[in-house]
Amino acid sequence: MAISYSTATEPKAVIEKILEEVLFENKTIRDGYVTFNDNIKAGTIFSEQSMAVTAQLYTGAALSSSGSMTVTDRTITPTKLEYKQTFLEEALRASRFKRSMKPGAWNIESSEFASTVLAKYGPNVSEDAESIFWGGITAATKTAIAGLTPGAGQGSITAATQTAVAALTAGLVDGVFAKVLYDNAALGGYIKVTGTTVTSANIAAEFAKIYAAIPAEYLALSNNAPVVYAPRAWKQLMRIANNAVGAAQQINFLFDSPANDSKCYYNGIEVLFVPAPNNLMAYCQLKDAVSWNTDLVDDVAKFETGLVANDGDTKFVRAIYTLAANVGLATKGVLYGG
Amino acid sequence: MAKEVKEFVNPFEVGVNYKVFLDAVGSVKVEDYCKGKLTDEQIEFLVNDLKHYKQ
Repeated sequence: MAISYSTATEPKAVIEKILEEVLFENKTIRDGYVTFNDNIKAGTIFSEQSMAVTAQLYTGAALSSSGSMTVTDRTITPTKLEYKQTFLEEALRASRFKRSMKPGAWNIESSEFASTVLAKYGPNVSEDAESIFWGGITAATKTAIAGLTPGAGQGSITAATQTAVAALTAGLVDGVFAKVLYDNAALGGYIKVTGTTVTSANIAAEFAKIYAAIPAEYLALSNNAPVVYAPRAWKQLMRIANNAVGAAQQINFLFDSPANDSKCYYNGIEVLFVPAPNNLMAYCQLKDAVSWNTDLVDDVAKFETGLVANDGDTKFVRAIYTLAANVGLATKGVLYGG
Repeated sequence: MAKEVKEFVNPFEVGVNYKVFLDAVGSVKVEDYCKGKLTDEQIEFLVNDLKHYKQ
């Protein structure tokens, strides 16, 4: 695709700084929101174990076995994704970028273009990878979810959630929320908290429902505490709720500083803001149980440029990475809006 | 002849999906069927969620 450039006519002086688009930084990777498993090419086995023990009265005689030991394996092969664009720097010859081109008709490469525009390719890919990791859903999963019979209680997906999933755009990878909703060819085993449209007026009450549903053994953990993965838009709602105009102030959400990017807690549970597929769902789980599975984590920030053909000047920029989201301990995770 | 009393089908119970629930509700309004058996909040949720349900 050619460079889309709206140039100024008869440019005179140039403001050196180019105003850059604002991107979400990939905090899932930067701040370790989940567990990262790399070095995965294909067919990697993940195992989960559980055990049930049963007390019996001692008799001195040989008792029957009672209880269970369960180990479940699943195989994960990350999906390989590629981003590619082509461009011709000839389009820059009449622009500000000509200032950094070397003399000579052969020389149309601009160092300023490379450092200020092209350099944004990696961050854009990383932002997209994070969106896919959390909010991606494949057409097959959408179809499967649409085929479920909904219900109000535990063990059924709500009809409103089915409608919300149907409205999502199908992509190439099932992200975390898709995996929570539907995994291993069945409805996910999540603890369900029925949701509603979350506003600043009700977010504290809705969060109380999530907190009340968290398994007690999770809340008893001193390290590896559970976190709530919430839509990014909820941060604003929480701040507004904390500072309701005209109402008696009640701080339900604890931000550890007044700074915009401070950490947030609800009753001791950290809230991490992620690109959820919509603003209707949030998920509480251990970081250990949610994993980003890939060949190399740094691949999302890496890109390559080169000539499309040796006898031409059109260039390409490409990025490649592999990705699979996995959610374990499914029956202990709390899904709000499921 | 003894009047047949049908057991209330609680839509919030595990294993009860909307097909099972609505088969039990029959031609009665959901609000009337659930009155006294579910909380007002549960009934409100049901009525709103059933708007999304396509049989």
